[in-house]
Amino acid sequence: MVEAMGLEEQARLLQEAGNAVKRNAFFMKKAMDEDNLREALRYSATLLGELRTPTLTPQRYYELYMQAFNELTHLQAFFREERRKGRSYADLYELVQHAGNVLPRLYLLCTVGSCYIRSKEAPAKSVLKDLVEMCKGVQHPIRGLFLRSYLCQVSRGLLPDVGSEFEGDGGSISDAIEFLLINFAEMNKLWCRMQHHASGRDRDRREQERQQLADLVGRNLTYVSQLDGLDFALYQEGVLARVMDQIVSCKDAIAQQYLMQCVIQGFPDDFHLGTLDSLLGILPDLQSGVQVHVVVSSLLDRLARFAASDKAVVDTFNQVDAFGKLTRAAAKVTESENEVPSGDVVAMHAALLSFTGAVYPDRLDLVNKVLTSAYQALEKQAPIKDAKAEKLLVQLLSTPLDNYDVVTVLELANYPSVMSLLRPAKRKEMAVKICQTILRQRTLVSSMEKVEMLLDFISPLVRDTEGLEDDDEFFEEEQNLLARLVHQLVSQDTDEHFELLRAARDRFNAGGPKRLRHTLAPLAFAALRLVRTIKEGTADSKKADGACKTVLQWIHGVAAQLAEVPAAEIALQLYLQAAHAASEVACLELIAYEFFEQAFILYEEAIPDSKAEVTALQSIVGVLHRCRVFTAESRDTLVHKATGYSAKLLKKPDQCRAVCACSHLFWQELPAEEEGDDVAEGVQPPVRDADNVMVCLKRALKIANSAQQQLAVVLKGDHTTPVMLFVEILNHYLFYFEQGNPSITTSVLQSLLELVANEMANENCQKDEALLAFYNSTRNHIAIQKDKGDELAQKFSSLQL
Amino acid sequence: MAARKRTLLKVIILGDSGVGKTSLMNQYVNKKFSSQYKATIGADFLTKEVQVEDRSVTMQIWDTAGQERFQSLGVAFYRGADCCVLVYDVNAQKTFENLETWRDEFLIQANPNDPDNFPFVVLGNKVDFEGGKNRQVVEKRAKQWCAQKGGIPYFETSAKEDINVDAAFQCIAKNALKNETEEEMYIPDTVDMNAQSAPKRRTGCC
Ligand SMILES: Nc1nc2c(ncn2[C@@H]2O[C@H](COP(=O)(O)OP(=O)(O)O)[C@@H](O)[C@H]2O)c(=O)[nH]1
Ligand SMILES: [Mg+2]
Repeated sequence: MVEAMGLEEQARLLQEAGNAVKRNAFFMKKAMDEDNLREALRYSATLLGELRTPTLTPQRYYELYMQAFNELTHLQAFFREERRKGRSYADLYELVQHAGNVLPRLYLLCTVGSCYIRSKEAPAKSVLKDLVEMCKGVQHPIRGLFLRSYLCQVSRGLLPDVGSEFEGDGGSISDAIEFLLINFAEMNKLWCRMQHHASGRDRDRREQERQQLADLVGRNLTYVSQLDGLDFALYQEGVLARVMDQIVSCKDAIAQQYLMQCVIQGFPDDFHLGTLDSLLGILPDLQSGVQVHVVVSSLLDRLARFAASDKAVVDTFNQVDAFGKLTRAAAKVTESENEVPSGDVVAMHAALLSFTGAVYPDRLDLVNKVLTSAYQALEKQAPIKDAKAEKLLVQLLSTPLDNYDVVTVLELANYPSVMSLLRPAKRKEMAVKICQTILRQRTLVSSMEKVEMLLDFISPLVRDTEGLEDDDEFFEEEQNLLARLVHQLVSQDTDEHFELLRAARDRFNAGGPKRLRHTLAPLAFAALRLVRTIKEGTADSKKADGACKTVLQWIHGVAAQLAEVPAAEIALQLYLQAAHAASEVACLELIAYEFFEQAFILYEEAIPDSKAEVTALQSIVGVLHRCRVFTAESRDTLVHKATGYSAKLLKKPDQCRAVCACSHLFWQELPAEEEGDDVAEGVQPPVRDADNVMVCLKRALKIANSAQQQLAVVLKGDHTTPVMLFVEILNHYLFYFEQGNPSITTSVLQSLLELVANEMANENCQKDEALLAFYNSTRNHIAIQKDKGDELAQKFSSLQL
Repeated sequence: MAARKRTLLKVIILGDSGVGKTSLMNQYVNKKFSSQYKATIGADFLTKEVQVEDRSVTMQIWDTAGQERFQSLGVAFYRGADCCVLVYDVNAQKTFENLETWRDEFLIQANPNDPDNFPFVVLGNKVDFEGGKNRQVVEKRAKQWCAQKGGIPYFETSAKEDINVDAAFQCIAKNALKNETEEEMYIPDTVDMNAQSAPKRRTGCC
């Protein structure tokens, strides 16, 4: 028995034994050269005696065996030489049996035996039978296992396989199978016996050694599977039954686990399909230490790959009810008395699911069956806490999402129940996956039922969940997902679409302000788009107006809620967009007006700082400029307010810019040519109020001036911002000049040009690159206009640069 | 005693499972092909007599499992190899990427005298598969890799259609023979040969 010892000690022992092999091989070859058979045999026996070492671990022993093996090839050549010189193999076969020790004797016997068969002086089957029996003389596990693999190695190619030159007089394929299976059974017995030799202390080491030796036993099955004559009938009757018998009767968990793998991997798929009953049937008879789920999983994996490689075999799968059998086998594994770890149960179902996907890509009902089976197997262990099981379960739930339409998957009866097995954190992970998949596949969720169901699934994102901290680093990202998801809630029917959005809002309300900040706005924006769809798609304009009103009122409510969150800036933007839609899409003046009023209230009461004020005012002015639904009176009120705000901004430059922007409120664009006279009902003619434009621009100049004076006091005149303002104002002048605004005459423009040129002469301005660039490009613009040679160029021609 | 003229060439076939190692060997040695997939358990060899440059040699071709679970005894058989054949499946990118690992692993375990010049041959197998329309590794890419590794000979093969199999193994044999090192000769460490030569007796039984 191999005792515990260090690696170095093992290496030294191997070296010693190896040297002895070399030394004896040297003398063996010398004797061969001298044609001295007796001496050659004597030295070869001594050489082989080294294989009796009790101290080497299997891997080291294998190295020594390889060395001896190489030397034995010389011996084979020598035997053939002897035969040529007239000594019969029968003789040699007798002669080597005189070797003193059983192990060397049997190695020599196998060596001669192989030559004997090759010479066809004796039928292969008798020699093989003799040898496989004789080898029973060695019962020491490691020695016996290697001896028997030597026997197989040298007789490979000599078996009376179908089509082999040794078939016929030498025997038949059943002799070949018989030989290999006896050897297999004997080796398995030796291998299992090792376990019983171990005392408790040595158990682990012994198990490890056994694992290392496994392939020697399994190799026999490879020899069997590679027989040319092995057809399905022979396999089923002559091979599988006996191998299974051996597997069950050895009652050894390590052997059973390994050999099941060998059978599954070593024999072809179509054989497995034909013998599913036997393969799966013995699972309950295996020892309790065997990880049956691993066996089932590898069978599933293998068959899945088979189906994927060749669609034509799916028929065969159906004929043998492969799905039913495998599902039942999987269920049985989990029902067994010894509790199977949850990770393993999930792994097996994951294998079952990918099998289903590969074999039956269109059968969602089967996917549901797998989920049912998984749920039943895991129910008692819920919630799943084991890290590996959790991870696999998420994978299991993700697989169908990737392969089928998401919403259809969610409708599977048992999808939610399997999801409920997860702890909240993992449920949230699944929710994220579901959202991502919907977005990636651009799935539209288009009925009330489906929306409700989807929102159920992703509820960990929608609202607080017990046992789940959600102020983590991913919160924003998750809420953004939800925000994007809103745009997938779409129905062809506008009424229904609106209902979907309302339903989503009801759910989102439960999420509290921290979520609403992210989720309300997309709802409102989706509704704004809906307004356009309604208007464009409804022939009856009264009906359209009614429907638009309803939606706009709802948006009003959403914006008000946003303001309460509080998220005043988003709410203000929303009011403005809604105002724009009310004006330009729906042509509903009163509602548009109301939205502006709300925006102004927010502006006055809730915008937090001066910077935000500037941005908000820019938006207000921008949208108001584009709105054409207002009658003169209401328009005056709104414009008046906006210009009033401009004057009240904190910083002079901001004031100046805002006033410039306000000038455009008096100068709306003319309708595009193609629109012609065909303007929608309720749209007012564009405002073109040259006087008020001028008033604004003059005020802007005044503010710029006073800014300059103010700064001159504070900063002693080295500040260029006011000059920048002048250049900006100049650009507004140019715009109106080109637009044909009668207030901006050539002389007005010329004097401003000179003013700016004067300012620019200042040393500080010449050093300010941004300013210089802006100024120069403005001058350039003028120069280009002059050169254009059109009507406008005429106007420009009298301008002096 | 004169060193025996070497007549045995040891060749190891490596590569991921399923690339066609067993099939290539069977096609070359037995002129047979099976489309059924049967994983190889453990390692073993087939021999074939070949003529290389007027010499008759025996090639010992080792087929290996290609998956760890069926390579339990380790790779002691790498030692003394004369040539290593690296096989990948031209229709599976990953199997090509793994060639690097197979090569490194071989050099570490076999520990040849001159690793930089140890003969490898690379085979891109299954070129017949679906008329090549699912090919994932182009010939150029494979040749590039072979060139980077010091000019490894490269063949595109099909074990199924027997394309290039003989040519590849002829090249393998030639390179193995070139690698031929004098067989390590054992020289007894005492002058008194008779004293050394008496086989030691061991006690105990098997
Ligand atoms: N189409 C095609 N299939 C092949 C070829 N070589 C091997 N195969 C198939 O690929 C699978 C694996 O082959 P095998 O030789 O067992 O691979 P190994 O694991 O590397 O030994 C088997 O189903 C073979 O039939 C080939 O050249 N062309
Ligand atoms: Mg193989």
